Amino acid sequence: MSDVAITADRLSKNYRLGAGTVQHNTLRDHLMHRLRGLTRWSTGQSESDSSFWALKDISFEVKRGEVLGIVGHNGAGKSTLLKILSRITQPTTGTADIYGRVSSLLEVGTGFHSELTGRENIFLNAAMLGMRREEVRKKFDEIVAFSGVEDFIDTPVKRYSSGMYVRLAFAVAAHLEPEILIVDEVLAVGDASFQQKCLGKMEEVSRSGRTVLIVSHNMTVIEGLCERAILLEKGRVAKIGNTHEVVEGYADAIRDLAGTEIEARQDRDGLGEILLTRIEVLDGDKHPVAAAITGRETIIRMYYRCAKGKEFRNCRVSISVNGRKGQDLFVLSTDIVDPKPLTLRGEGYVDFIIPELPLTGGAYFFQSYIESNGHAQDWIKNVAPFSVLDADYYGTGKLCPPGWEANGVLIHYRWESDEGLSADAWPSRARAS
Amino acid sequence: MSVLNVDRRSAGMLPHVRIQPSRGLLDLDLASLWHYRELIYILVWRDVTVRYKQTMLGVAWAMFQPVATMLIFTAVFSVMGKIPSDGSPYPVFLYAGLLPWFYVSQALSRGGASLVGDAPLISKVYFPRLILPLSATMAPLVDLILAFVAFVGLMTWYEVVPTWRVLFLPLFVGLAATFTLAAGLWISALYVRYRDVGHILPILIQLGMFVSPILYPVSKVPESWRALYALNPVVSVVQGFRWALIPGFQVDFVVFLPSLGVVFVLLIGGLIYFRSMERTFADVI
Repeated sequence: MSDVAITADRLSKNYRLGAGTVQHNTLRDHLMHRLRGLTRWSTGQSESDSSFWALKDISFEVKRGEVLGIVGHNGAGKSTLLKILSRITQPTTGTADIYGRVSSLLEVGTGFHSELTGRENIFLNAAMLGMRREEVRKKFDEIVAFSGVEDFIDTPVKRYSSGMYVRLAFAVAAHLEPEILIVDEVLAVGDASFQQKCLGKMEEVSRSGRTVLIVSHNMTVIEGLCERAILLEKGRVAKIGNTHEVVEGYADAIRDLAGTEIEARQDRDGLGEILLTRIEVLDGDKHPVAAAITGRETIIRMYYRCAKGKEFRNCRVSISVNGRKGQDLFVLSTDIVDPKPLTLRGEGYVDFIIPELPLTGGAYFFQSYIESNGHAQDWIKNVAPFSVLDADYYGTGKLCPPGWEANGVLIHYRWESDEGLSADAWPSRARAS
Repeated sequence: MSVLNVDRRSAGMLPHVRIQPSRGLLDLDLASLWHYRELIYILVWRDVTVRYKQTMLGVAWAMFQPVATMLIFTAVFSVMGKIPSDGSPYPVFLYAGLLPWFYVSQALSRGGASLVGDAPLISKVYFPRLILPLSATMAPLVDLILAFVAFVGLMTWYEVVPTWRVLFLPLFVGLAATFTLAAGLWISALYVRYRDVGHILPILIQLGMFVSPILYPVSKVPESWRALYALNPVVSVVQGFRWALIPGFQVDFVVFLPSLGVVFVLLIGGLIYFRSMERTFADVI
């Protein structure tokens, strides 16, 4: 038993719909619900139809020193599982045994107080994450150095930039020395060099024989760090084992999900007053196509519908393309191209026109995002699949090198050698005719 | 929540935690509370620090507020008609009542809002939830001590010399803290579920000032109401403070018993209610 860090045995979590935020946030609603409950009881109907299992019979074991990835769609139960393992919420049934100190980084900077200085927040945050004051004092300089905010350590964090804030928060968390570290998408924060620093820190943690559980949508990270992974689907373990196989399974599952009607999608975030209803891929002649072609003019058309009778100002409509491992490749956004704010009302569509599609052949995914006045309205990850047929981008008669399918973008460049040889890699203009 | 049992045999020297649906009516889990004792300290420190950050007077506000309130009421009642103050100067009598009242009202409103105020913490980090109302009840004790310094000045001004009874003051501070913690457990847990509490609480606190002998002596309460009045724990706290601070102040301690019973029942009930609600805090908040 001594090499086991976590054993989960049939963990299940049941949420009663309406028991939380939706129905009875006020006493009156609660009383009304009770009354309705009484009448329902008398007609013999049970309340169980308004509950759902966020997790159902999750069993697995994590060995000490293992780095386990947890993947799955939004709403598959990943966060619920992490919350149970970090004791934030309780399972409805089932048990989990945890051997060792657990630290969870479900959201960095939790408990930071904007009025307090960086120095004060280090101590506050560390105490919340379960670190002793002695320990913090010993590592204080190291934490500050890691965060790179030395000059502002005695400034209230409300005057920090968001980047500084996040770096300081992660620095505290990274210096915890738990036997088990639980991480949820922290890598989504900070600039590239800081992300690199974080990745390095996590590798270091795992190399030092500690157990790490990571939830991420980025398959490159999961494949890079984990030997084993779990795929969750609708609250159940769909696949468990070798990371590569699980990631394949996840890609299949994304294809299935992305095939469903966008209007019926539940896994969306935002206020929902403006909804994405459909995405169409068109060719240069504005004919809908099943697949785009490398190097050709391609139009991505996003249909939206606004709440009745309302007008939305300062809108931003954007779509990004993810590669086969979930990595972000590029983003198309109305506000980058045209700083004039967009006003949306009723129904309509926005076309993004890409003159020469710089993608190799393969299966990609779209991620859509609509906002107004700085508030997210509708955000859907893996909203639709996007297939691209490979074609000769550079007009040289060659296709993309193996391994690069749906895994990167094609750019314009030229090369030269010291012996005077050279070649331009410009997309062939001839193809457009 | 879960039981933290340090089982060293089964896993070398690693602490073992079993996560399971909680059972039992009153499983206080004092072990985890002890484990997180530093967090209590640091939250109290946070509450005190944040309260006086970016203010010119800083912690002096903790003295200024009750003194100003005392001056206002003294001025109002010197115009409106005199209120008996059982022998001592009215400002001293009033301030000795305002002292615990400021604490009780602060502890109630801050303790009551403690869970909702730290909602992001509850949904993101594990620690015994009891720590939040507990530290919120303790933080205003710092203000109480500062307000007490002002009281010393007031006593010097009126040449009131305290007696040995002042040694019993911590006892009544303890009673005030226990009562506000007990009430805070109920209020904070209810607040998570029903945001109505946020609207009702200030009204109740305002009412509390008038159903407690802050501005007037207990002797002004009609005889027929005394039995009901004795159930209010704040009456005992205020009477205790005056007894300890004002020489010659007479108190019938038998009257304290019903309110002590109320505090006890409130505390036990509050702990049970809090523990049973605790498991859903993160889901509901």
